[in-house]
Amino acid sequence: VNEVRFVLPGSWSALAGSDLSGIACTAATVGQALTWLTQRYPVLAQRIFADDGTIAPWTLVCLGNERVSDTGTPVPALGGELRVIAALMGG
Amino acid sequence: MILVPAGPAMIGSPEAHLDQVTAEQHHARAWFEDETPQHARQIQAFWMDRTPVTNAMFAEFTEATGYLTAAERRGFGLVYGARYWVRQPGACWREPAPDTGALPGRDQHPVVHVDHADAAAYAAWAGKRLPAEDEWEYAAHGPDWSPWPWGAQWNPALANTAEYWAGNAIRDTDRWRAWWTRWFAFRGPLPATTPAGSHSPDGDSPFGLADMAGNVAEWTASPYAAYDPGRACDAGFETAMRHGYRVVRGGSWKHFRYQARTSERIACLPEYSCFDIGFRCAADTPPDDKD
Repeated sequence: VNEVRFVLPGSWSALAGSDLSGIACTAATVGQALTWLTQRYPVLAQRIFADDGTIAPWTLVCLGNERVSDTGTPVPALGGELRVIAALMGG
Repeated sequence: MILVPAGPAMIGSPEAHLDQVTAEQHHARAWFEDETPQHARQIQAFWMDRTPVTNAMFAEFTEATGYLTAAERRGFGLVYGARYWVRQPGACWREPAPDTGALPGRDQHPVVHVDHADAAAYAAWAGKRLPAEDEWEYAAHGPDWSPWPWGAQWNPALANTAEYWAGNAIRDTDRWRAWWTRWFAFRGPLPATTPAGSHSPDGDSPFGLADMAGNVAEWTASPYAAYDPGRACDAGFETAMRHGYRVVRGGSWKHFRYQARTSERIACLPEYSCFDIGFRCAADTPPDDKD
């Protein structure tokens, strides 16, 4: 199973009450990685997932440099960097 | 439209101002670092809509072209619900809330639920374009930088922001959420826009442009990029720069005073549309109509 390294907005550390820089997990798919993240930090769940469990339209998820919309997207064997940010950021 | 004369302008925020903002509210300084360094630009003369594009103006466009916005095509709009963003089935510029049409009744309110492509399509139809973000900022504060279009001192009566509706200062998320909870229970997903130009003339910019702070946040033509690529910035903003975000300016009716500052930069996915983002147009040549 492959390592996923998260890159998240700095403001999410304050939300989660924990320093999120450098956190990582192992996962076979993007969905597994995001589920790990939101189970560990439930406050992030509504920022990432819509009610139906899909990636929310107010969120951008990128594996490496590729945008991901399907939670079933596999994580490469060598692992990958998963960037998650809001569709609108600032202020 | 209003002629914005050519001139030098300081773009971005002074360091001392951001120190003050950081001390006043809940976000860390890194959240505002993308406004630095403040730097001089020479802006060429251009024309700019005095107000954001209204529902009536957008209706003319759709009637003439049959254009459907992204929100209309996908069948839902994005609104901030009781606790966070939600999909609102059927919400679009024509019907921002269930059983509440934009026309008639809200004709002179700024159009919302438009993404970047929707805004650019309108601008092209109108023979105009979206403003670049430095043009937008120059138009908001003039040659001399100030944090709000009317000057250095915040005044909640001069702009349609959350504080305008709340009747009290809002400087952190807890206070904002207290206001929003009451507001949403009463108002639901209906945007709290006000007729364009309602805060004129006292809230206008030095060039006479209205609603440059609050009412709707506004799309610009500019990709979101660092003023100084050598400066470290928040990982989230770095991601936005890599993935084609566009700059939105001016803050909206649900924003804090800090988001309605002239040099505040909001990064937004171009295909995103929601109930508090609209736009206004710019042009390089004198327009036929002077609205």
